[in-house]
Amino acid sequence: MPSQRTLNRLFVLHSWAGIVTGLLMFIVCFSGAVVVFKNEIDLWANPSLAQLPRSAPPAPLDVVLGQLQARYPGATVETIALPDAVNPSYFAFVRERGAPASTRTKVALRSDTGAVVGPVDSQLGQYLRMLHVFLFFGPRWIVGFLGVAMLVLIGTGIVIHRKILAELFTQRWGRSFRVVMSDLHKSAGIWGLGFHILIAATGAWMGLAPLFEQGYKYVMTPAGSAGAKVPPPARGAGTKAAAPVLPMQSLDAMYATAQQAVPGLEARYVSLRRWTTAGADVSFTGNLRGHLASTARVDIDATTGVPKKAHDPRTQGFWSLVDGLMEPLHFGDFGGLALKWLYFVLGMTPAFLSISGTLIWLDARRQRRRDIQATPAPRAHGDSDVATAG
Amino acid sequence: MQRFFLALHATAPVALILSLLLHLRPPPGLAPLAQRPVWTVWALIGGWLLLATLTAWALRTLALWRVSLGGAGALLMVAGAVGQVRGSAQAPAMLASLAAVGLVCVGMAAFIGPQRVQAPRRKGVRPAAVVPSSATARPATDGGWRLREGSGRIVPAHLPFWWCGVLALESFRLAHIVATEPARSSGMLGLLLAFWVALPAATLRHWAPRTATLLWVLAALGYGGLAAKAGLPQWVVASALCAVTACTTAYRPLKAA
Repeated sequence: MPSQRTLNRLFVLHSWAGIVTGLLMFIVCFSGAVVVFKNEIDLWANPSLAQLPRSAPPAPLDVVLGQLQARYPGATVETIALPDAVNPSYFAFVRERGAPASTRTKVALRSDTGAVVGPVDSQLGQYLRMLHVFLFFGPRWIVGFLGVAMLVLIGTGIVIHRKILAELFTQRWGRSFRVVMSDLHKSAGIWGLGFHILIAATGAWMGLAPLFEQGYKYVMTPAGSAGAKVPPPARGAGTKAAAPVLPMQSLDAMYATAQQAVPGLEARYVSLRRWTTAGADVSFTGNLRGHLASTARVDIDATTGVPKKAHDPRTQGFWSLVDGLMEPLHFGDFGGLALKWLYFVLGMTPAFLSISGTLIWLDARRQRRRDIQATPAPRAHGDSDVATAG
Repeated sequence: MQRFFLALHATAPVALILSLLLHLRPPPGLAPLAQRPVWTVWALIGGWLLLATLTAWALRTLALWRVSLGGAGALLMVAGAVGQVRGSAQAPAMLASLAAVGLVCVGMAAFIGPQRVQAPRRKGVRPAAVVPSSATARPATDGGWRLREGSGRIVPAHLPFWWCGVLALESFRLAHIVATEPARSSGMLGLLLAFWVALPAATLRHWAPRTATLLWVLAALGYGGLAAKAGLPQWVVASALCAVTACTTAYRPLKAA
């Protein structure tokens, strides 16, 4: 049982952590609740794709790539997204000739024939995801740190509001604003407690894991070689304007190879790098049939068709499996529409907690100021001390 | 300022829905949405700030929430109707969903109000359910300036938090903006040190000063290690800063002893 002094300090920590991170937390949680429906929103925001058929099996990848190269000669096809449970079409991210290096055009293709439909109307779902994951501009770490802050808020909240079961059902309407808000804050926090811990922990993991990974690699690298670690000039090695265009292996054959390397692989994305050059490779990333993990990946040398690297989270140890489970657990895209709605409703509760916490803090501050104005004598003494010392 | 802060919360959903409508009917002459152009981001940020400023200026707190929630509800229904008119995929389901969520927003706008809380609060009486405020827990603090007893000097109580912020910002700059080795990797480590070591040290300063001192020493050693490995002057300064903060934090328990 913590002492009153400890509780007071945890309360101060809870309040300040909440007020400092509150607005960002609200934006991230609110957008996160909406992003649960990312694929549905993307489909809905593209009326030109509404009438496209779903084909099982979809057109071969080689046909899709061929259609893209015919429609966009000289462009670089970077990624092909395969049809999924929501979107019946193929999509491709294409860097058109002469376009700025950072500009990619998202192109839709029919899943039955592989024919190019054209650029999509919008990328609304991805836009919302960019807000949730990157706050549009930043790296994912910022949201990772917010996940940790949320865990701190949850931990301190549990300790300072100890009567968890009683507070599940306590809502005193008609009392002071702060009591009403405080009851709402506590009951929303406790009803969603398990979910809040889940999304905070998974969000923190996904945001900070790359930071830890990169930091660990850096520490383990000998000091001399750290500075010498300059990326090899593979991209430009012998691939100037006159570089010969090399024949590539069939994408479908390489997909079959990838599925042999990682049994049950259901690729969501096919990424092409340095295509038609000597260093060309292709990555198949996606889910595993009958498994939650979402980080399966196979890299294949596109000139020979030989796998270079296979990542199967089921067989690569505990932490690899944990890592593979983070994204589906965080976004709730493994249990159909009902689970998505549950994630949406529960996902709104931390956004509400952020608002209610802010309102409680502001009300408490207003009250403190009123108290100070009501009892000026002791305060005046303290003020004069500071003024003298200053 | 306080109302603007609240308005930033209250108008965020409205701004997001307006941005959604912008995606459904983008203005001609701008970069196509298939290229995920940056103008959509600035439109959202600009619209959000403008809405927040206008509502904070024009509306009192309760009206601000009511208008924002009611507006969000109405705009959600408009968005659903636009999708239906344009013949989007799953348009009826989306219309029903958006209308349902919109009705919840409108319902909340109608529900909140003075009738839910006790009318004027009794002056000078604190509600029993609220944990004692930090004002009573920090007797020697005034406006963030801590009077150091007996020393005759004033040290800002929140200075260590500012150091953490500075360390985190510089680390972030090196890791994400400079983003070339060795700045990138060492910046990532610097960010981790700022968040996991320096920030807890600043937080524990008055609670467990010895632990805080230890953490500042650890941070100083960590940044020192980074300085040795990466050879960047920033880490030397960071290490010195942490060492000085460790000394000032240690000064208090020593005096108390």
